[in-house]
Amino acid sequence: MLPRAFRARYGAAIADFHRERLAEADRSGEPPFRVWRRGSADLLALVTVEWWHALAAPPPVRAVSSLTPRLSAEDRMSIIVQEAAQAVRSLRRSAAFTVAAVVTLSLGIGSTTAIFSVVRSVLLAPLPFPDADRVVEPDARKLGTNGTWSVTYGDFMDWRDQHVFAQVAVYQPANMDLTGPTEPVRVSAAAVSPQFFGALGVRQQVGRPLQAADFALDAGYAAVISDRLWRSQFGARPDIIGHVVEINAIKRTIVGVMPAEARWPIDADLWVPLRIASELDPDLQRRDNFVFEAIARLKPGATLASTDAQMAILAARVAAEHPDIRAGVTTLATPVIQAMLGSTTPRALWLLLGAVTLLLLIGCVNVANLQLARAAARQREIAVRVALGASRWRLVRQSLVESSALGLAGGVLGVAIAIWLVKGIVAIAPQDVPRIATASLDRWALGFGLVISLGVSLLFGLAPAVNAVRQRDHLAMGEGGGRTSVGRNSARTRRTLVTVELALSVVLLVGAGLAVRSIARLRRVDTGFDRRNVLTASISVPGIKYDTPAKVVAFMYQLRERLAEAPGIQAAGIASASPLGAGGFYLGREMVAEGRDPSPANEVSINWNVATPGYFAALGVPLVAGRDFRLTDDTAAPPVMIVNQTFARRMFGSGNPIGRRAMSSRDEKVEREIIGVVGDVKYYAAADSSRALVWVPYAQHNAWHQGIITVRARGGGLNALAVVRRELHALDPNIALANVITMDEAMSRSMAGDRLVAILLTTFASLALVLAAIGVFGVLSYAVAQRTREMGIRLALGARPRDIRRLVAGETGPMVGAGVAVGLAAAFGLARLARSMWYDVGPNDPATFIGVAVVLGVVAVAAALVPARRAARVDPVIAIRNE
Amino acid sequence: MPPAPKSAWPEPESLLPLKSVDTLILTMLAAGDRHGYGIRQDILAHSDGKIELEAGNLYRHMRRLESKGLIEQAPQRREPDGDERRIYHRLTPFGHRVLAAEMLRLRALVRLAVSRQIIAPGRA
Repeated sequence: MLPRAFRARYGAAIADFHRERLAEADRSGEPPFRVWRRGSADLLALVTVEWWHALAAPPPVRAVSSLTPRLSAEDRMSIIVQEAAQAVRSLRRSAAFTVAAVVTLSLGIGSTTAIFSVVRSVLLAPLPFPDADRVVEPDARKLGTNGTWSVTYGDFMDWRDQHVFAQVAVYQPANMDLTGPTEPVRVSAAAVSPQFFGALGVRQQVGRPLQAADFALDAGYAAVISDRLWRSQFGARPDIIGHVVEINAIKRTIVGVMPAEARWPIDADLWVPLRIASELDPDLQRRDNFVFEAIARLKPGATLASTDAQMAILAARVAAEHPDIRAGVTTLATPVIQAMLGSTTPRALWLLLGAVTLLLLIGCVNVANLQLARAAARQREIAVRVALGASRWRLVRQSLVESSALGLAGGVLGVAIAIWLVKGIVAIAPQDVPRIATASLDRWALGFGLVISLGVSLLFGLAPAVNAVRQRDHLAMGEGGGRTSVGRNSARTRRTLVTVELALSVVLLVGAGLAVRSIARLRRVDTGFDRRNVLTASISVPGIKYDTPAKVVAFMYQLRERLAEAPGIQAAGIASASPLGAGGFYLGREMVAEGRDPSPANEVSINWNVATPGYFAALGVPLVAGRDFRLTDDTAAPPVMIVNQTFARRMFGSGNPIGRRAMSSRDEKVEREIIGVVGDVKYYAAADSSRALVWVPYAQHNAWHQGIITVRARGGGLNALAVVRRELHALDPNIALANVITMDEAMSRSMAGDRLVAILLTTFASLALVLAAIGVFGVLSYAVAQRTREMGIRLALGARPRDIRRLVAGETGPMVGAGVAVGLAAAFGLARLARSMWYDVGPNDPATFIGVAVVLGVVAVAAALVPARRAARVDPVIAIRNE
Repeated sequence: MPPAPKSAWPEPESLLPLKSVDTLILTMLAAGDRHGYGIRQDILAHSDGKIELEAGNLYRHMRRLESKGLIEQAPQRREPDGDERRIYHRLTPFGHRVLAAEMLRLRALVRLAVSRQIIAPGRA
């Protein structure tokens, strides 16, 4: 393993040394593991150093080596400069090669750097609050599932009183209306408990956080605002502290302004104290009232695992005390990043990074191939150099300098591409991916780009370097036929490289194919309602002014009436939540059919919504049976509800549900009669599975203050916006519209993430395909050029052009076949791993795999055509003559 | 890698400062001919077990020292237990001069340390 000279001199001594060492270890009782460990590390270092030294040494044959003058630092510098200049000159001479190589590299490096920038700013960038790794989001989870949801006040009190965390707080998101100079402005707000700002650890840029005194029931109303609100609504006025504003008809004093980056855990513009009249309130005490979000900071010295354990114990105690509502429910602490990003975003990003790395590898393989082709053509030049006394190291160095020049040039161009690519990604990325808007080419990304440029140039520079050294050794040993054997080796290497390239391309193409088919399927999904011309906007009715349920109901129903009659509006309704994840609020509840025992076995989990009459018509959901709500469905009439088909199926099987009754078994406990059944809609996103949904009228004890206005317009959803604004303003000018969106847009937004991945994967795959085609073309062209003489002889002996073409095609066959086979196998394995990424497609989607194989086959054949034709057109006389 | 002829040897001072491992090896060799394992033992004893050289480490440095002409292989010795295979090394005269120069340098450094009260003055 060691260089020959070193081994000759010291090999025996080292062997001796080891023998004595082991004997000594035996005697002194040193553990053998230690001896072997130290010995192995030492040996590794020795091999490395001695080889390094050997490469730098001049060839031992030269008797004159000891007279070689030691080079001064300046001489060494100028040699490097010389070699660099030489490399550049050589590259300029082969302009076509250089351009091809640099372009290939820049595409690979640019894409990789761009994706890395995005990954860095979304996944890896540090969070804008101190000790972010100590901040967690306490969640509740059903054992055996992966989904988490919000927590109860009771659980929060347990953690607080048992000191599970250093700080723990709950908060509730809300929408409030800020009275502005002309129109009220809807702001997103958070009502927080006392330790919130302590847990978060972010300091206000101006003023102070909410303090204990602000939470007393008789305290003045305080508020902390966001940087965004300060600038947009108050012109960043310096005297903001102490300024009084009217929010939801309550006068509040602004006591602090948050810094601009404080977007987590909630991107709110307003923080107000969560006022609890009494912690003994039965609603708050209920252990199944999962309506609070929480954040907490770990105790010093505690770990995530130890905290989880403590939380699990407390949750188990609650489950034992309230088995009917808490069996199988536990609590745990989710780290910030996971809470922020969820699980799909990181997976998608790593997938993209993997894909782009493949592209980079394919690019490297291509450039290596190009280099080998070029090196084969420069064998004479290398022979001359060796004759002039070039050492192995010198030849390797020359290759590396050229490769580095290419790599750096590719890197510079790649960075330019990356800048443009990152801008593009940010433009089409879904907006709800946190921190994506800040993705840009920063220091880290540039450094990364530089590192991979150099790494990549080493990678593809190895091939010609090894080639040159091998050639030199052959020449030194007097093998005159160096050309043929080196040429043969080189050809085999190049064919292997192309096979590798093809395999990698197949993997990329399969990935892209699956992503595209997934999107296509998503688009065609039946969302359950008619998306065209539907506009939604959310409103929040302030509790101060509308302080009784009757007032809320009156407002909602009046607004709905006016909208339904307005010109340009076909149908209108208001409901608590919108499908396709376009917002709103619903409750997760359990329902039990009348007459059945309210035990978990008979429960059906549902999402509980509230609606006015006209909602389903506005949304375009088909009424499959029964009727819509009527104005007469109020507190004086029997309680009713409308359900969807999934609910009916789960609760009553195939029987007719109309007229039957069921109740929400854990809270309302009121038997409601089913008066209508509507078709299923996609609640969260297009990829959503079916859920059981229930709607009850606002007017029947569910006078929620929040609602989503849904109107079906005659021609164009946005045309209705002006009408909606006008009618709302006429009823109450202090209520703001928020989250205005058409259902088409909501659909598009829900697919934005998948669409981005599909677009990027397709781009990378296409590039890979082009590169692979170039690779095949290059190898075959070269093979043909090498065998021109042979072709000429064959033709002269009577071979037909068709035979020659078949000969060339025969070269392609095994290469392409092997590449495609290996690639498909790898793609199959990887697709299994990433199955959860795509909607309804996966390893069992033969169409994609077959399609890719066909495409690649066609491309390879096309790439082989030109060299094949060229081979057949060889003029035998010229070929034989040009020896 | 045989050492260069004497006329081309540089001044001892030009090789300073020596690496600390080199200094240790040369110092141990100044006591007499040693083979590799013996040098390791000497250094272990001298440093109270704190400096442990493994084979590769040791012979790497010795290769360099030999190529600079500071040490050379000693003629084969016959050990009491008849182990003829051991290879012994010893200092060359040039090596002696370089080691002495290094020690002078270190002494001057220690004097400076004492004057700056980094350590207490020891017995001479």
